[in-house]
Amino acid sequence: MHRHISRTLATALLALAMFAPAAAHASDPVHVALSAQRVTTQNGHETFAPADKARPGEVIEYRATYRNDSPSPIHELIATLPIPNGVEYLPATAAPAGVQASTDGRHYASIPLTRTVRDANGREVQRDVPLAEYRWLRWSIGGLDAKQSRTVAARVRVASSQVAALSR
Amino acid sequence: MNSAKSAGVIRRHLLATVTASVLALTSSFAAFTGTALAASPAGTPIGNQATATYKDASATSYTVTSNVVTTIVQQVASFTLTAPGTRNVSPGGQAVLPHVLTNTGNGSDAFPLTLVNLGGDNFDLTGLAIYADADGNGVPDNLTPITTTGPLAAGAAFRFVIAGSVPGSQVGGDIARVRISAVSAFDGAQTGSNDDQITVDGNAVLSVTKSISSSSGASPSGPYTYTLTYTNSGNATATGVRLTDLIPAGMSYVAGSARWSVTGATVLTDADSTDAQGTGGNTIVFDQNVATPGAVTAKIAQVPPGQSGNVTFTVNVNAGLAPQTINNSARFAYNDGAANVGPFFTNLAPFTVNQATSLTFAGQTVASALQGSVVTFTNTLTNTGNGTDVFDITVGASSFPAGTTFTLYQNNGSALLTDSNGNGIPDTGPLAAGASYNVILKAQLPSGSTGGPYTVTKTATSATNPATKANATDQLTAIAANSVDLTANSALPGAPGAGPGPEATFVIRNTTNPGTTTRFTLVVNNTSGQNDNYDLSVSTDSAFAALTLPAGWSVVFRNGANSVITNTGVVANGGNVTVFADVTVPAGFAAGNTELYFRSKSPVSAATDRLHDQVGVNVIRSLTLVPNGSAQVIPGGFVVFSHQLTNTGNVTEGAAGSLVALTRADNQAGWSSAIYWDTNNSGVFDAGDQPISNLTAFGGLASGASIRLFVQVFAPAGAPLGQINTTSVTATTSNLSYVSTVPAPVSALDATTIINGELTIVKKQAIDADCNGVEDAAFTAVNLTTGAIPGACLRYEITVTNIGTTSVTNVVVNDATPANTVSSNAAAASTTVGTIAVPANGTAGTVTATIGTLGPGQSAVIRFNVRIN
Repeated sequence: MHRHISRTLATALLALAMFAPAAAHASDPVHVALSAQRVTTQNGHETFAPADKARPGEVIEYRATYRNDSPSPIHELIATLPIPNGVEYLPATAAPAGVQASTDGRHYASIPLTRTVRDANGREVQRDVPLAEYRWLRWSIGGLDAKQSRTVAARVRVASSQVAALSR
Repeated sequence: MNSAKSAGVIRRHLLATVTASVLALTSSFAAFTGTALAASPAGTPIGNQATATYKDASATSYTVTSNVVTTIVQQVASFTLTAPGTRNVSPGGQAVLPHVLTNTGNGSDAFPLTLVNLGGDNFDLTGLAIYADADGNGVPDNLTPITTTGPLAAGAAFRFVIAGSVPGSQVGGDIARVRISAVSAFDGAQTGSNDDQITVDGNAVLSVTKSISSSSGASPSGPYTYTLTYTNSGNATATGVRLTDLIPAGMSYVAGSARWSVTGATVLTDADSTDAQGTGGNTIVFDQNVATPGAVTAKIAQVPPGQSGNVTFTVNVNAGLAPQTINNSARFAYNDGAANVGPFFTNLAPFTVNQATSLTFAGQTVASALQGSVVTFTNTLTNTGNGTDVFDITVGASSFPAGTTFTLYQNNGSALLTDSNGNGIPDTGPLAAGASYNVILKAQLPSGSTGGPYTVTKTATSATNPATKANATDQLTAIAANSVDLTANSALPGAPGAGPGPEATFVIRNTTNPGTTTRFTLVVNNTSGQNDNYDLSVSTDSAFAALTLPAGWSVVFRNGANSVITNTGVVANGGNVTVFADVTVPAGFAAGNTELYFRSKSPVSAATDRLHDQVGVNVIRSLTLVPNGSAQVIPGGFVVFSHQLTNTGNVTEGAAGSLVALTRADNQAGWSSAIYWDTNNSGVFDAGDQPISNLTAFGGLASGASIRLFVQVFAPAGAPLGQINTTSVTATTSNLSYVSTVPAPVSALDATTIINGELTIVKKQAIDADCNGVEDAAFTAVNLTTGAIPGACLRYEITVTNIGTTSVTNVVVNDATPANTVSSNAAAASTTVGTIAVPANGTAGTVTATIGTLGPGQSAVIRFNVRIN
């Protein structure tokens, strides 16, 4: 089992590596380091463990650190953290404040996201978008001086197995 | 009136029944009717990659991506077991109750099953056993008892029946209870059980099972036949047997399809809920969507003990259904001879609507892109199948130029397309039926390629059915070539040299003298749609097959700040930059025109232009004749002076273009002189040297060339002591074919003094490369052509000889360090007679040898070193 998972992971990484070169330039003055930690709470204390494995229902904290390695400041830095398929954003866990969310990666708005739907009477009403549909988080960090770094973080829950009832 | 009233009674009765059935359905069956897992099967990799966009100081926008972190979803076990059942069984009969175990965990699991009699009831069933019922018809598939479900995939359901016999000694009203339990093999903490209750009934005991002619099919498909089989295993006749079967959502009843085993091929009427069909007491009243809305209802008048029969009807599966399992059970009630019993439910007869996979995948055509740019193709993938599907995306055949890199992005265009189902291939993620997803393909073009059209094919493959795939072809019609226009003096538009070069005739002509530098002003105009930079080069070869310049020429490019450059740096699209080309023509370079071609060429995009300019080297005409000489001679003797006539202009003098006449004159009566040239270039006047009156015999003197002339001066025998004769040697130029101004005549003056004694002085030189005071080769009077480099030393030898007949007194030899040299290795200065004084090492100055008296025939040899600066 363990061996199988390792091979799967290696294959996945290999596939990503094959498609990655155009995106990653060694000379980029800004570097992004992403980490994932599994968060467990015991007696009110949070414990962090590597999140290379997680069970449905467990909480993972993603941390992305943006570091300006260039000798000059950069501007209009926008940090984007996807919420992958298979996990669900936990509300109020995005830090720092000022995060925006999106369901399609193009249109961002403040949390909670809402959308207009027609109710049974045909009237347009605003409804909260289910958290399960949040797929992107975005922070407008702004300027970052030379050799400075900023970290953004958010927590997600691994989607539980659910059985959807179908009508008879 | 009467009938209307009774109809109202029936309707009320039906209403109550329907309500009860809905409640029963809700409580009993809703939990195990579905199979769709929300997410996160065990082993699923959840990959994540953060991105950032930002701008640098020049407001250029960049995107960077982080490392990928991956979390593997672990297995959790969970299951449901349904449903507790009740049955009436006659004494000695067998109770068969259906159950369904659904694996609601996220990985494959197996579930051992145990079946036990419970206490606290009237009796125990005998021969308890569990049998598989894969088709869900409520009847064991075979008579092999099982003790486990065996491996069951996540979301899958396992159908089975439990069976046990009622001893013949039991009487009506006795109750037996049994418990069927299951436990997860993966996680023993996950358990579940159902308790079933069997009641002994001494009257009629009717069992009804339901089956369908096929367990699966597409949407739409059909017809499929549902069969409701009834058996009276009791001891009395069942009357008023009522079978009710709601046609499940997604299926449609086929009109006129109902049949009863008793009446054979007779069509059971659909529309009438009161007409009895059949003969004698064996009648049936059948209707569809009348007695019970949405249901077929069959009321069979009687079923005697031991009799079996069935009712069949046909349905079609509707179009547009999502893949699912349609579970359907019928309901039955009857009078067992003593009382009305029921309703009871039959087993579920599952029908699986297969997933139909299909998709459309549309490519995009982009008309034009710049060299080295990123082209974005948006490919809309639509899941036209009937269920949620994942589509793997691969990039296939491409006619794009070598060096193009393709990257797949998610539909926001900034995050890489990742693998969501663990097969190592990037995919769209789950895509609902009818939903569309934009797959973004970005092609990073190599900077050096142009042309087109280019195409690339991508393939989307259904993960549900890998045989279902579609290609989308993206086309880039053309890569627009970068361009540059190199112009003279001013920027576009209208600048000299605008348009592609090289021009047939020069655009700008600069004239300059040899030994000077002339400047051309060049403007590099970036006429592309994007920034670019350009290497600057120059050649006399318009094709630039090689970068060639005339010997001795040098060209340096400078920017506006006058710094030397070889590249323009970035020139914005539509912008320009002015650079200067400083062309240095070496001294003495022959007059004439030289075509120069300047080129600006991008090392990135290879965009290039050439500009044709011309350098005109002016005619410079100049001769020098040096040095003046002085010597002593005895009356009647002669002395020879050596001179160098050098053409310091840049055209040949004394050949076809001009005549250089050599004349001499003596200012004292009786003196005579003659001019010779050093025909054998020996450095000394000897027998081989020829008289010369002009340079024609010599063949002319090329630019920079020189000729050694000897002037032999004869003193008359009667010349008085102390008389000084001055011999002037003059080179006078007159034009033949040349039209430019002739150089001024040049002269050298030789003073000859009549003395008794007579001294000759001969100076020679040699290289002393390491300045050690020892000449590297023999001293020579000829010019040194090699080795006289800065830092090396020259060693001079001056030989003073008294060739007279009497002693010469107070002889002092004066010399000096030549221009551009300093004294070196003063210790190596020597004289064979007398003393010598030289400047200190490293300084320039006078060299003085105080020799004193030289007897007839005696020589003094003086040597000293100088170092070339």
